[in-house]
Amino acid sequence: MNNNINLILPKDKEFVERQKKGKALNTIAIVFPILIGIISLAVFLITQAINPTAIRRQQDETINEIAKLQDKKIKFFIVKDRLGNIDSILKNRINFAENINNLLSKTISGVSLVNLDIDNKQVVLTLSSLSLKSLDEFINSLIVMVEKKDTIRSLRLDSLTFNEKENEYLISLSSSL
Amino acid sequence: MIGRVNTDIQSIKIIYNRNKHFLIPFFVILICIGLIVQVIVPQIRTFFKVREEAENASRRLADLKKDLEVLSSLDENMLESQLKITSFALPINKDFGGILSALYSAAQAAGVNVGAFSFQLGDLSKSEEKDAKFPSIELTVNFENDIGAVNNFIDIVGKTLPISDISAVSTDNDSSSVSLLFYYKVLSTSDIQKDERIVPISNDKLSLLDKLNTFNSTLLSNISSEGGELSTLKTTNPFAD
Repeated sequence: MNNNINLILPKDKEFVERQKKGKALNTIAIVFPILIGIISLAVFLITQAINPTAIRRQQDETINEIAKLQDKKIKFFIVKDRLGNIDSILKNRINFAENINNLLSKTISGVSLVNLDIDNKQVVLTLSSLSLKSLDEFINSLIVMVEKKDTIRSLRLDSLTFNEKENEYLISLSSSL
Repeated sequence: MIGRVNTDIQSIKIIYNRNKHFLIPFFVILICIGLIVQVIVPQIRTFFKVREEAENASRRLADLKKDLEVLSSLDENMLESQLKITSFALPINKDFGGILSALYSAAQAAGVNVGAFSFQLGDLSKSEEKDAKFPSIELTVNFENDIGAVNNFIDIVGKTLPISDISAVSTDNDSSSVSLLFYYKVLSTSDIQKDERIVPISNDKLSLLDKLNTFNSTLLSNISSEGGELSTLKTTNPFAD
């Protein structure tokens, strides 16, 4: 009699493979929902922890405290607004007094100012003198000012006339500021 | 030609029996994937959104606290005085009285005689001029003085409140005329934003405030040093009591 007869059906390779797969699938099917539950809970808890509701409550409290100082706040804003505007005006303001002083400082003896018209853009000067030399000196000093861009940027001789009655010369000059 | 697959109930039963222990885990995994898509992903999105909101709220709270700190640190009396100076320097409307006060006091300080003058006030009832950045009142003043005295006036009026600007000067030997612009600026609600931060006044603006203070005091000290009294001013100023 042959003793090597095996009555138990042999587990073929495919069967073992399928059993392994089944086990792995079962493990995944158990771990996966647990993992999802943990992740979901963790995310929920973290979200709750960083919830800005408490911060918003503090914000509201601070806003209420600021609102109590509303009067002060408005005054402060008005002061700031006025200062900004005043600064802008003062920065764009032309110093007429200085410009006129600079021009008058160039007048020499023997030359007298007859008329001066000055605005934001130009200055028109009318001067009289008994001597053409004095007028020439004055014009030269103005030319130096133009070259240095000091007060005036250009100089034009508009007219030169002689007043026979007064025996004096009259010149009219215009300059751009 | 497409071949037909012939399956009968028996075959399906065999396949089912062969794989039925895979079915439950398979559906569980499928449901889990569905949960990830439907629950976890939105939860994570919400988390990022809430985190961003929390960061913004924290920033805003910090800003508000700083604002409150600045506001609380402001001295009421000093603020009141700053408001008076700045509002006097640049009135919110056509300050007819302030202009004449400035004009007369500057003339007094400069020692010039104000002759005829003319105002271009425009519509007195209209308080807002939207076109101009800085609406102004133009005033032409005639003086019976030479350019030296008038220039002194120009210098002093430039350091007098309310602030003004010279638009033109015309002079001959005996008389002069000066065109001045006195500015005002309507305070519109848009100038004060509801959520605007309360930033302390910068140093250069504080220097400007000091300068404006000097404008006023220089004028008053000029008058005192030249022997003039404030009472004299009051008698000269038609708007004084």
